[in-house]
Amino acid sequence: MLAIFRPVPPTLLLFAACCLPLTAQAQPWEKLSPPQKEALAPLSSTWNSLPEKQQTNFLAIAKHYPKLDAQQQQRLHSRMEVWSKLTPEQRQAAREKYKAFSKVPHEKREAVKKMVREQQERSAASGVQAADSDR
Amino acid sequence: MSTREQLSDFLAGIERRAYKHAMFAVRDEHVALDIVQDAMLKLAERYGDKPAEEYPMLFHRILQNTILDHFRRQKVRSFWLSLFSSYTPQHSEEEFDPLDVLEDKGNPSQPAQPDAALSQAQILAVIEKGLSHLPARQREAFLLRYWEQLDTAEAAAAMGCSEGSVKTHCSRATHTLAAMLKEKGIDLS
Amino acid sequence: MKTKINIRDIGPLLDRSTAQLDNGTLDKLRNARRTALQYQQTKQHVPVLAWLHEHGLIHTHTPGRHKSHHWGMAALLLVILFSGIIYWQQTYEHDHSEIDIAILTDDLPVDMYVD
Repeated sequence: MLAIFRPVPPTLLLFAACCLPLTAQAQPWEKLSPPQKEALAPLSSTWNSLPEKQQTNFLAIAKHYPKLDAQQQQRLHSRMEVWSKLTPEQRQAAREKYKAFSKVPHEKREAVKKMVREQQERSAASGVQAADSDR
Repeated sequence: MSTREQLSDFLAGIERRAYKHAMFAVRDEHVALDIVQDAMLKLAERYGDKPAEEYPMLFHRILQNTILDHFRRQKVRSFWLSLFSSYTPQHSEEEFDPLDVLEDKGNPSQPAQPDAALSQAQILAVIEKGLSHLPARQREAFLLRYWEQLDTAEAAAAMGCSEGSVKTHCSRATHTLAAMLKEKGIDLS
Repeated sequence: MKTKINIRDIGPLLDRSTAQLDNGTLDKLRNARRTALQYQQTKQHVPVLAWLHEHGLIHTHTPGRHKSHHWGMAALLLVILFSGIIYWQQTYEHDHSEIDIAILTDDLPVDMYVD
């Protein structure tokens, strides 16, 4: 690589090289602590290919993991991969929607959740969703 | 034969059936056309350089996923719509419930004369209605095997499931279809 | 006389139905096909070495030394500038973890919030 910029003073190049580690805080999976690995288990195979910013976000999520109950932990795990595959814009839009939904009165929220649950059950019964149990 | 010609020939050969596949699922001409267009684009963009033998399997996979995406987006849209309506979520006229397999709205069927043989057109109409009322995976397996003439392995690849699953879906579809046809005086063997 | 058909008859019957599609639909399908073909991706080999050589980033001989010097400096400055921007962005990045956890552990599945 140095040969390409042969005319450029090597010291300048060394300085540039030193700048990069400050920003690229990429952590390979192997370097994560056991609690972090447990929290982020569904991402073990894709972790190393995630952008640094996403890794940072997920590490922040991993900090909350021990405080969750078993059901919450399971939900988190089952949705983690899907979340990681969204674009940053989709994630941001989802956060906005969630905030909007939180402001809706409790009764209406529960009514909507019930409707969605019922739709899902009918969906599962007639096999519209490609059932993972098929594979 | 160049890859472009191969893809062109494949799409020209399958476009009408693709439209029918989509129509059975969504029952809306406009939506079905959008879905077919979308699926063709994805095939060309993502797999345009694959060997032509893989096109059928890839295309059907893409087609079904595009249909699923449509339903998912519809579900999400109605979810957010209901949020801003009254306490009880109301179904708008345009909202199509793909899970409405038991009801037969707006299509009063003529009682079949038990003794008269049905015309080809009548038989076709009954079959098509039956197909559109099948659960999605059953319909998919059935059409891939019996219309698209894929073998079990190819159908499994298209559906992203095991060959055993394909056979199960297929036999259930045949069973359900046979029952629906029997009601209209048609014996399916 | 009951109507009898075989499973094998269904395919040809459906083929009949496709033959009966109206011209408007057929036109739209044809257009869809043409549009898709325009986007067909075929693998192309980018002559990387030739490109690099053209832009003076690699040398087989020494003439044009000044030109390559400028390219090197420009690239270097871009690297420093880019690194700075990323670093700044990361420093001022909001912590979304609380709301992310809420979404990921909520009663409703994630795709309810995703269009």
